Amino acid sequence: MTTFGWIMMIVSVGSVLGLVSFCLFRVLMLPPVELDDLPSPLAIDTKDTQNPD
Amino acid sequence: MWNPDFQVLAKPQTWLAAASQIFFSLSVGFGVIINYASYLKKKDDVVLSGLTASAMNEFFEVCLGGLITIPAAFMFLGALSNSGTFDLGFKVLPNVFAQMPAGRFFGFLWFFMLFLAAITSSLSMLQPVIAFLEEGLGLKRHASVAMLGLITAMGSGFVVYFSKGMMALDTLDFWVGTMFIFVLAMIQSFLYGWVLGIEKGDREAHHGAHMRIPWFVQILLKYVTPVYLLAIFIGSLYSQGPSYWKSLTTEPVAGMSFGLILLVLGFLLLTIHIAGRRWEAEGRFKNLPVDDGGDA
Repeated sequence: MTTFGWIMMIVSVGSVLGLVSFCLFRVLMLPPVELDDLPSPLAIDTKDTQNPD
Repeated sequence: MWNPDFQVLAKPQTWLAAASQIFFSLSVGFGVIINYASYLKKKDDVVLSGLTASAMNEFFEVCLGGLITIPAAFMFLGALSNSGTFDLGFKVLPNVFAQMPAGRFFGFLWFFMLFLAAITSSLSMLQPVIAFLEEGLGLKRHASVAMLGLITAMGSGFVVYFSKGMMALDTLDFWVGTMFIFVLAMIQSFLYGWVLGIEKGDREAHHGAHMRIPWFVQILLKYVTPVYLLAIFIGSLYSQGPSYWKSLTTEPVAGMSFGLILLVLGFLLLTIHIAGRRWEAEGRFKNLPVDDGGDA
């Protein structure tokens, strides 16, 4: 692999790892979510399953 | 594979393939994100969620795919691995599994996870069309699913029947999975920057957001992205248009595949027209929410 190849690989992988680490840190540092704010999948009414035929 | 070849950057088809790949990978431009977004509340964070999803996608593609899967394919099979997405998944990796310890087990895991990824993605791709047929044509859910099932069965049957040389699959994959996804995303970029407006888009994005989007991103989305995508599209058609046309006119299966795409496209445009007429008659367009510039 050429010098440019090594630079491309290190910059690409490094920037992706940096970004994903930053995002995970921000997500994990968020305040806890209230249970009332988390609807279960069955609680979501798509309004088309009551009388599908 | 990491050694850069700067001459390739001068070819529009390189940028077309790269843009289409990331649009497909992030599900931008063909309804999947709209489908997921419909399950969110107004105050749910889309900025940090979107950035995290994009970053995680890049992690799997660049760090896992780029550093493990593709180099392994090059190491085991050399030039054979440089032959396209389908060959990488269905020809190269089985050869890799055949030469590694517990290859059958890992091969099973690989194809099982590929199946799960495909079936879950298919659900999110089909649901927007089901919802559209229900709301646009007034169909019940089962009738809508049956109609869409008929269309997808027709496409799948076409690909299976003309499976020799994978000409039908390759043609459909290129025009739908590369070209039309690019066109749809380009249209959406124009709609966002010039119809919805970056001020309203910025305001909507920040409802409940846990981080700010820098303002220059909105400038990029309004002025740079649409021009960049349009330039790639025109450049690609200018440089590759004759070869696309030659392929469609000399290869009967390729021509029929493109005809199938036009047939489905025509059907969808017809249903959109019918849905628009129905919604107009119901007065739905008169009741669209007016942007008051506030947080309401």
